[in-house]
Order: sequence, then C-alpha cells, then structure tokens
Amino acid sequence: MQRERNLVKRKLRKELDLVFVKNPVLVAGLALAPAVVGSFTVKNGVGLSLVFGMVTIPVLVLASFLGMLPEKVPQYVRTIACAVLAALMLIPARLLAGGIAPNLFDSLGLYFSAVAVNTVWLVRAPLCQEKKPQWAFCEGICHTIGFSICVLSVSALREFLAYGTFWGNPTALSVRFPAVAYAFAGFITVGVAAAVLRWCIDRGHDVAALARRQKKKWGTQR
Amino acid sequence: MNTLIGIFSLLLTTLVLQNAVFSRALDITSLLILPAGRKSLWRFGLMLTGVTTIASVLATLVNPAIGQWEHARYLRPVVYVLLLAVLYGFACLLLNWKKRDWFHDHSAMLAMAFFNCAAYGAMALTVYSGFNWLEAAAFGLGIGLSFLLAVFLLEQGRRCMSICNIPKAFRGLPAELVYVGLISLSLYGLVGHQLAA
Repeated sequence: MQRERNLVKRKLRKELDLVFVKNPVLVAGLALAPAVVGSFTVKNGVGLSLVFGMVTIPVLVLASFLGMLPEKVPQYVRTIACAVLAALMLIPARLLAGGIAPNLFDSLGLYFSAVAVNTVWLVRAPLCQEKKPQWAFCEGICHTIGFSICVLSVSALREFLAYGTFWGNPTALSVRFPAVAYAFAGFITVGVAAAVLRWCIDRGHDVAALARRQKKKWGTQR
Repeated sequence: MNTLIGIFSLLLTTLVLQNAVFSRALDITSLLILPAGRKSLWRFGLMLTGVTTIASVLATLVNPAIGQWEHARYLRPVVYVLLLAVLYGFACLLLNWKKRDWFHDHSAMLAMAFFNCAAYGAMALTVYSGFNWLEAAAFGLGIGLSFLLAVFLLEQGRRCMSICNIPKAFRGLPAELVYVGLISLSLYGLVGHQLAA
C-alpha cells in the first residue's frame, strides 16, 4: 500500500515537473511558433492557451488508448488518428475562443489553427502510448499549464511594453515600445524568459542541495 | 517570360524578405530541437520542402470546393490538417513498401516533416494570398528553401556560440532564440519597415 502511494507520488512529481522544470516551451523548445509570434496581447495568450489545452489533452489521452491496440497496428496509423482528432478539436476551440474576443482570429491569423500541429503532442503521443489514460490526462494538463504560464507571461509583458495596456485596458506606463509586438521581439523575449527560468531552476537545485547537506549535518551532529 | 519573372520574385520574397522561420517563426521548433548533425537537419529540410510544395498546390486546388461550404471558416483548418494526414499516410505506405529500413529509422522525422507549422502555414498563406497552382508551388518551395537557409545560418551561429563564453543560463536554446531574433530583426530592417514613433 505504502509502496503504491510512493509510486503515485513519484509519478505525480514527474508530471508536475512539466510545468516548470521541463516546461514544454521554455525548456523543451516545443510549440514555439504560437508562443513567439502570437503572444503579443493577453487576449491572444488566453486564446492560444485555450486552443492548446483543447487540442493537446484529448490527443494525449487518445494516444494512451491507442497504445492498447495490438502491435500490428503501425505507428503512423496512430499518428494519423491523433492528427485527425487534433484537427477536429479546432472546431469547439474556435467556438469557445470567439467568446473571449471577436477579433481574436484576425489577431492570431494562422497561429490559432496551427496549434493543431503543435510539436508537444507530436513528440509526447508515442510516449503516452505506454501510460495509463489518467496519467496521459495528467500529462496533458501539466503541459497545458506550462504552456499557458509561458505564453501568458510573455504576452502580458509584450502588451504592456508595446501598447501600454493590459487586456486592452490602459495602464500607467507612459513610454511605449511598439517594436515589442513584432516577431523578432518575440524570439528575444522567449529566449530571455527561457534563460531566467533556467537560472531559477539552477538556484532551486542549489538551495535543495544545501538544505539536504544541512539536514545531514544536523542528523550526524545529534 | 512575365510568369517566370513573377515566380522568381515570389521565390525570392519568400526566401529572404518573408522568410518562414525568421519572419513568421514557422517550424522554428524543428530547427532548434532536431539533432544538430549536418545530415539530419538538411535531410529534414529537404523533406519539408517537398511537403510544403505539394501541400500548397493541394490547398489551392481544394480551396474552391471548401469555399462553397456553409461553415467554411470552421472547416478550412480541419481540411488542411486532414490533407496533411492523407499525404503523410500515403508517404508512409510508399516508403514502408519500397524502403522499409530507411522508413523505420526516420519515421519520427517524417512525422515532424508533415505535421508542423510550416506545412500548415504554407497551405493557409497560399489560399489567403489567392495564388494559382504554379504560384502556390513556388510559394511552397520558397518556404521549404527558407527553412534550409535558416538551417545554414543557425549552423554558422552555433559554430560561433560554441567558442564564446556564454553565461550558463543562456547556453543552448535561450542563446539560439536570441540569435534567431537578431537575424529576424536584421531582415525586418532589410525589408525597410519603420517602427511607429
């Protein structure tokens, strides 16, 4: 019983690592196109996060079920099934996203629908075939949270600097940098964000290692 | 003659001025995460060029039929992805039949060559621009060649970065993203854009 609980805790920690330590955008470099070009306003960020979640989570769960098929079924057939589901999930995603902002699709252009061919499900779906559906669902949720945190923080910063607004509402910033809304600024912003995250993770590891050393030292002193 | 000049200028525009990677970040993930070995990235680039060219032409041919549907704006992206899936299935069947060993070694790369933002973007942008099939083929070819240009530039950048003393936090993906951003900025200036005051 205790062994099973420890196994579940370890699996859960591994999935939760996907949010920061193995963030799909800033660490793994997946799904970069919408994160770099599309995330220049918070509304865009919310729309991208929504469509990402609605595409990636069902596809990873489907991949888990496809893993139960006999091995005779070739991998490319499973990939095609995942791609078809990803494409079909665009329809409800578009209907829901229309409620956030009517001009969201004009703003995002092809990047809204391009999330259907994001590299997160393409890379992770074959690996999810060896997982149980509940863990594939958990992985999808963690990937979505990781993607959303990255995209929302980058888009908030870019909207604030480029237009001096947040969710279309004016802020106190008087100086504006319109260049931040363009693609090249997206590359640089995401690159710097990736470096900041890596620095924070390294500092976190250093603090954890120091805490373990101190604990061991106090334990031996007693 | 005019057609040839038009095709050539379209190719040049797609390759440099509206580079798929540096201006639109299409398939930037494959560029950065695929193994940095000379052969694998170039091989992927060639596969991608073939996919974008064929996909662009197919999108142009299918678009008049989609335009007549009632909910075309909802169904158009779905049809594009399904077209890519059909192309992928056809390619897999052919390669599995003719070159089974090569197919098994490169199946993951093949999947990435078909299901990526560049292939989808080629289809969407071709239809948005209203090209005929010849212009669509040139546009798709330009997108693939722009990826190969990006591979070449990234290789040079990685070579320079490997001998520089980059801070630990920036090594790898962050530095490469900043490098791509700076090239994107230079191309933006080359086009002649001016930033709003």
